[in-house]
Formats: sequence, structure tokens, C-alpha cells
Amino acid sequence: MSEHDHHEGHHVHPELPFWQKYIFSQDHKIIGIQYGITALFFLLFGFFLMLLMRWQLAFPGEPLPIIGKWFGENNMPGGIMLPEFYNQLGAMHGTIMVFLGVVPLAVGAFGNYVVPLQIGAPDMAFPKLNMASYWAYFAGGCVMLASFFVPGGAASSGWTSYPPLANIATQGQTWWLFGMVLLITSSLLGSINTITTIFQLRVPGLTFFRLPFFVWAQLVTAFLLLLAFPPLEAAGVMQLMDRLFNTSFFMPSGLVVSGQPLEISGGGSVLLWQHLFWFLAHPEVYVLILPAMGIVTEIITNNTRKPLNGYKMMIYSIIFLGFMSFIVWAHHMFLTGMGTAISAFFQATTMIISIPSIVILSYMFITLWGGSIRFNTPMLFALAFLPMFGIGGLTGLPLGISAADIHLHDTYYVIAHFHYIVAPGTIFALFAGIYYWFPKATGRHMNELLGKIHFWPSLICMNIIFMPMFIQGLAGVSRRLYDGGASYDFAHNVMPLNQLSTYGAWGLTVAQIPFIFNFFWSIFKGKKAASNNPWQATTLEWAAPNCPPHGNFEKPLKVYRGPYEYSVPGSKKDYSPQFEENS
Amino acid sequence: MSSPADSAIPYTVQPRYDTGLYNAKLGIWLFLASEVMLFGALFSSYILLRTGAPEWPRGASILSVPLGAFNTALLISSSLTMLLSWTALRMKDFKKFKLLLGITILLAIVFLGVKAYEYSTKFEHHYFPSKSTYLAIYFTMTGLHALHIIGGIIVNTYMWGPGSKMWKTDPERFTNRIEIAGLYWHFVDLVWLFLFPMLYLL
Amino acid sequence: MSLMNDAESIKKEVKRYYVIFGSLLTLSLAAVALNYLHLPLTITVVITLLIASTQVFLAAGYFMHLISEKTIMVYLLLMVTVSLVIPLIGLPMMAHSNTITGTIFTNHGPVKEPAHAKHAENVHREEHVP
Repeated sequence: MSEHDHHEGHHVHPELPFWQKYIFSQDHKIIGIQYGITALFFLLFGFFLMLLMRWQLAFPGEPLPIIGKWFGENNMPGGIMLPEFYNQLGAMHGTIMVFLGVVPLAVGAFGNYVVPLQIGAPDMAFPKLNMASYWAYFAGGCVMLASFFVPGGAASSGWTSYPPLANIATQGQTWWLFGMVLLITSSLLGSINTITTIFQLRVPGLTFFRLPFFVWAQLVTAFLLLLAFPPLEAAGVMQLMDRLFNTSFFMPSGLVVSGQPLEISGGGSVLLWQHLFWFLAHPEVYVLILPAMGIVTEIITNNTRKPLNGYKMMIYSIIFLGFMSFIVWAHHMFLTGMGTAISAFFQATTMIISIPSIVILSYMFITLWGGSIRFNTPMLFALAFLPMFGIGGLTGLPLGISAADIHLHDTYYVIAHFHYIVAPGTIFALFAGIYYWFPKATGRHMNELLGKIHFWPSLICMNIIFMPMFIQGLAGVSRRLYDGGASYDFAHNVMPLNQLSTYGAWGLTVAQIPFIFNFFWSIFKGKKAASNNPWQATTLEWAAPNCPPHGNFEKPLKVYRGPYEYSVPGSKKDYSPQFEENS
Repeated sequence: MSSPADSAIPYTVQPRYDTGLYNAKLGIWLFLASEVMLFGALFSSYILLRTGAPEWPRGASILSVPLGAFNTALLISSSLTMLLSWTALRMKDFKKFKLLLGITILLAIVFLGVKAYEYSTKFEHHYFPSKSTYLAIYFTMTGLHALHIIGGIIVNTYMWGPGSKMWKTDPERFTNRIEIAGLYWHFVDLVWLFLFPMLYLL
Repeated sequence: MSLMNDAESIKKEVKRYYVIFGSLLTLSLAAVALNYLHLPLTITVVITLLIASTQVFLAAGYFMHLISEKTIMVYLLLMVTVSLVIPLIGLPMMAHSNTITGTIFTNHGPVKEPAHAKHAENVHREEHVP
């Protein structure tokens, strides 16, 4: 994609060749955009995997017209989806959306691009490491995509890869494991960079309690990634040992597959995998939501023209949330035979962890009160985040209560719960961020009309897709069924909802077209930003020129006040930027 | 007008006043924190597998305690020589630094040699990781640890060889690099200080 | 006591390092010797872990000069990490010892060589794989 010319005139650095400036760049902004474009591609890819699944769920056993034949006899003979292929789609949709789509966009793209700018730094602390982490992500993505084409296809044991199924699965699972090792490496290097940058490179005057909430969110997220991923790496190594060297880390004794007892030593524990996996995967879901909360906070505060309510409490809450997220994981394991004492422990911590989320969400709502609200496109997406994340978060509570979870575990209720959080939750926040920071990155605005055409149908369709799933889940329809529950009599009444969700998904697809067009068109033809600070915001990134040059700022910044000084009494403007001395 | 120096990243050599650290030192400690979680997960797996097993061999009945103890002594010594190579640089004694770092690398290579010998004797007797969960966790943990030793050898060799050119252009930054490499190396030794008793003595 | 770069201080520092080095070697020797005493397993585990922990504290404190750090930054980081390792190790253990009778087996079954697998004595384990 094209880049604007950097204003390199006043630097004495020699002009770098194209491949060093744009491909193997060490500049955090280029790397951020690389992450962003790659992640948006993977989001689209994961979206198409979902569309394929939704066809099968709405019309089980029906041939998919025209497109169906592209997938070959192994996957969709005569255009009719095989269960094995459905399972691949399911496992890879989850893996790709979480590890290749949302997190790289929320953390790799937004984190890398915005954090150094918001703290006044010239770049991240370790530019070479930053470049390495992008390319490790890219390599992991290639491995994941390639796995579709190996004999037996891609991983098909869920994104959760539970043994013993994942241990005896086809070759694609091994590719999945290697892909994960690359992605975890990328994540690790990135989080080391983010934390060091935030601690070390803040400009004078920028104390921790003057940091934008977005930076706090990225800081806590980086700690989650740093400390939660390694146990999954260990588990991944052990599953690789099981698959490649026939060890029995996760293989209990006495397993019989297709009538034949397995020639293994046995003595392993399937629950060991689950503990290690969920030790990561629970903090991972907070990795999915925290940057989104950060983005929404920035945009809401900016578009209400008043200070953020509860800034300090939100910071304490997010720190508490980060820590708690490490000790709730076994609420994903309530049905594994855990006793009442240990279940009560995890239920209690899960209930407690909802409190900081509610505090943060509440302060976002409260901040709207009495505000002078501007309903531009970023604000629309940020506002929609609030009730959508509210629904998603609140529906988590019955799941966290172990008694209720007996009925709801592994049903469509769970799918609806987490999709509400990630889809009309996080992804809406990421859209908001793209519209909001687009002028800083390109010097031009995205088109407002197209933005609204993107927003309203997306919001409506998201609800059409996911709200019915709560009903299906309560009716007892299990997840990961390739026919969507059609073969179960008890689910008969809620089967038509599968078609409703699919129509919603088709609507959602169409609604993204204005966005994709708008994104690329506006880079060249979008309305030029009126100034470096077109949104009249208060945080440091708006001190930099649009399309900031290498090194970001024309002169070193100093910070004079907190991050959300809007409508300060006695001030000439309705905003007092952190970097302006008299304002 | 800004100069190239303005786009230089601060605190690459001088520590920042409120954190007391220069960037790379914070970076390496963060990395070590993640490594604690990695090996912690493996220790957790060991405990779970062992407590769930109806029988578990005493380490000494399968592994050679003298060889393990010798390896332990090698690593502790290499930790000392690594540290002393850093203090040598702080005393501006480049020759001594090279000697001590060279010894560190050699000790590490000998460690790997002993480990390779141990592995080969196991394989000769058909003691493969697939034979039991004890052997599985033994090979996996010592194997992962050995990979970390190899990584350390690579970094230290680079610092001994081409990397040491930095001593002429930016001695303070180079001294910091050796400190960082040392912190990593001490950590690898620390892990072994838990691994050795756990696998060989218990 | 932060580290100084003058010759005198460094000489004292180096002396300290030799003392720690000696202690580490001695402690390892003690652990090996303990092993040959063939005490009951629990006692051996406790004492061996105590010895290892002491070695870790000495190595981390002096070799990694944690004791000379000017601020609490690194301590804070390590405390957070350790406070997470404890649940990582402890909670799965507690989950394994608190199970609902008859649902899962946390005794993982006979550890046997594959060549001697006897089909008859293997029972299908009702593992719930959600």
C-alpha cells in the first residue's frame, strides 16, 4: 500500500532503500501499518471461513452453489460440506480470528502505532525486535494458512486443541502447533517492547497518572501476553512431543482408537493440557478486550468534550482485572469433574473479576452524561461498543456460575456470549480506532457518509446473527456440531434460527464493502485533515505532524497536565492539550 | 529543526532516573519473567504427572548422579566466569574479558557434551521419551534447557567475536550488553539448579 | 548497595562473587550427599527444595545483582511473576485432589512399556473431553 512521503528533509540520515524503508522497516509506524494490513486480511479470511460454516448450518447437506466446487473432493464433494472440513473451518476460524486477526490488530497495529506517539517517544524501545516480532507473526500466519493444503487438511480439533483428539489428529495439527510457536514468539517479543517503551520512554512530565487510558490498557495487555503465553508454549511443546515422539504427556492409559489399543506408555493427563491451555486462554480473552476499552475511552472522551469520569478508578480497575484474569481459568473446566471446593474457588474469582469490567464500562457511560456529544463515525462505533460489550459481559455471568454452567457449557450460549464481546465489542472498537487515527496516519479523513453506511447495517446484522444463538444455547444446542443441531429432536424448534443467523451474516458481509472501499479510497482521495489535530484532542499523538516522520516529533515534548483536560474553566478552547504549556 | 540525535532512543545506555534501569536491562528481566512462567509450567506438569502416577522411579535409579553433579558444577562455574568477564570490562580489561567469556563458552560446550553422552546412553538402552512419563518429562525439560544453553552459547560467541568490535566504538554500551548476556546466562544456570535435584535426586 | 565502578569497589565485589560461588558449589554437594543418605522421600524433597531455593536466592541476589538494584522495579516484576507461578502450580494440584467421585481418574493408570500392553486389563476411562 502506498505511503506518503516522509518529511525527511531535516534529518541527516541517508535515505533508506525501499525494501528497508517499507518491507523490513524498524519504524514503529510502518510496522504498525504492516500489522494492521496483515491482520485485516486475516480477519477477512476468518470471516470467509465463518460464511462457509454458516451455509452448512443454515442448509445442512445442501451443495453450496458455484463456490462449493472450489474446495475439492476431499472437503466438499459435489459442493456438499464434509463434517471433517466443517471441523477444520471451525478450528481455524477461531485460531485465525483470535491469534492472527484481532490481537495483532489491537496490540500489534494500534499498540505499535499509537503508544510511542502517545508518550512522546521517537520509536519503540527496541526497533529491531519490533521488526522481528512482525515477521514472526507473518511466518506464523503463513504456516497456519499452509496447513489447509496438507494431507488431512488443517487442524480440526477446535482452537482449544484438546487431547486425546488433537494428539491423534491429522498432520494439520502439527502445523498448527508450529504456527502457534511462531505466533507466541512474536507476541513475547512485542510485549517486552511495549512494556519497556512505556516505562522508559515517557517524556518529562508524563507521569503514570497522566498517561492516556489507552496506554494503560496496552501496558496491562502486554503483561498478560508476557506472562500467560509461556505455559501454552510449554503445553504446545509437550503436544508436539506426544505427536512426533509418541510421549504420553496428555495420553491416559488404556486409550483405544478405532478398536486398536494405542501403543503408548500412557500415564498422561488430558486435564494437564486443559489447565495449561486455559491458563493462557483466559488472560487471552482480556487481551482481546482491553485495547478495545482503551480505544473506546479515547474516542468517547474526545467526542464528549469533557474529562473522563473516574480516570483513577479505571486505572486501578484495569490493574486489578489484569491480575485477576490469571486465576479464573478453570471456569472453562467446570464440567471436567472438578470438586465443589475448587469449583467454588474459580466461581468466586470469576464473579469478582466482573466487578472491574463493570466499573470501567460504567465510567464510560457516566462520561457521556452532560457531554457535548459529536456523533462522528468513530464515536458511533465507540458508543455501540458500550451496550454490545454490556450484553456480552453480562451473559458471561451465568457461565461463571458452575451450577448454571452445567446446562450452558459448550452450547451456542457460549458462542453468543463471546462473539458479542469480540465482534460487536472489540471489532467495533477497532473500527472506531481506524476511523479515528486515520487522519494521523494518512493526513486525510475517511468518508463520513460511507462510515455511517458501514456502521448501521453492521450493528443491526451483528445482533441478528448472535442474539438467536442465546436462545439456541438455552435450548441445549451444542457447539461444534456440523449440522447445527439438525439431528437432535429436542432442538427442532430452534433450528430455523440457523437460517436467520446466516442471513444476518450475509448482510454483515455486504455492510463491510463500504468500509473496505472507504479505507483504500480515502488514502488517496479522502478529505484532507484541517490540521495536525483535526479532532481537537488532548493527547500527545496529536502534537506530531500527520504522517509523522521517522522520530515522530519536530521537537522534544513536555507534558503539563493530565490526558483529558476538556472544557477547563477559564481556558480559551474547549480542550487543553497535554503538550501545550498555556492552554 | 531536529537533528538525528533527537530521533535517537533515550536510555539505551544511561539508566532512567525513576526506574533505575537502562532499556535493555528492563527488557531482559521481562524476558526472564516469561521464562520463569515457561519453566514454571513444566514444573507444574512434572508435579501433576508425578503425583498422578501409581509409581515413579527415583532419579538416581535411571540417571547418573555423578554426571549430573559434574554438569551442575560446570554451570555454576560458567556463571562465575560470565560474571567476572563483565567485571573485567568494568575495569577496562578487555583481554581478561575475552579470556573469561571464552572459558564460559567452553564450559557450556562441555556441559552439552556431557548431556549428549547421557542422552546417547539412554537411547542405547532404548530409554526413549515414549517409554514412560518420567522419561518424557526428563527429555523434554532437559532438552528445552539445552536449547537455552545453545542460545546462550550463540549469543556469547557473537559477543566474544564480531560483537566485541563495539568495545572500540561504544565501550559503555558493550559493557551493558555483556551484563545483559550475563543475566540471561545466570538464569539458565538457575533453572538447572532446580532441574538437577528434581530429576536426578528426587 | 549499588554497584560502583572504581577499582577498589570492584575488587570487593569480585571477592563476594567468589564466596557466593563457593556457597553454591557447597550447597549442591550437600544436596547430592543428602541423596545418598536415603532418607524418607518427603524429607528429602523438602530439604532438597530448601537447598535449591537458597541457591536461587544467592544466585539471583548476587550473581544477577538484584541486591544492588537502585529501585524496586525488578523486584516488583519478579513478585508479580512469582505470584502467578504459585497458582500455576498450586491450583491444578488442588483441582486434582478435589474431584467428584467416579467422574475422572487422577491416578493416570499403570505406567507400562508399550510392548507389554495387555488389552484385557485396560479399562475405558470416562474422560470428559468438552
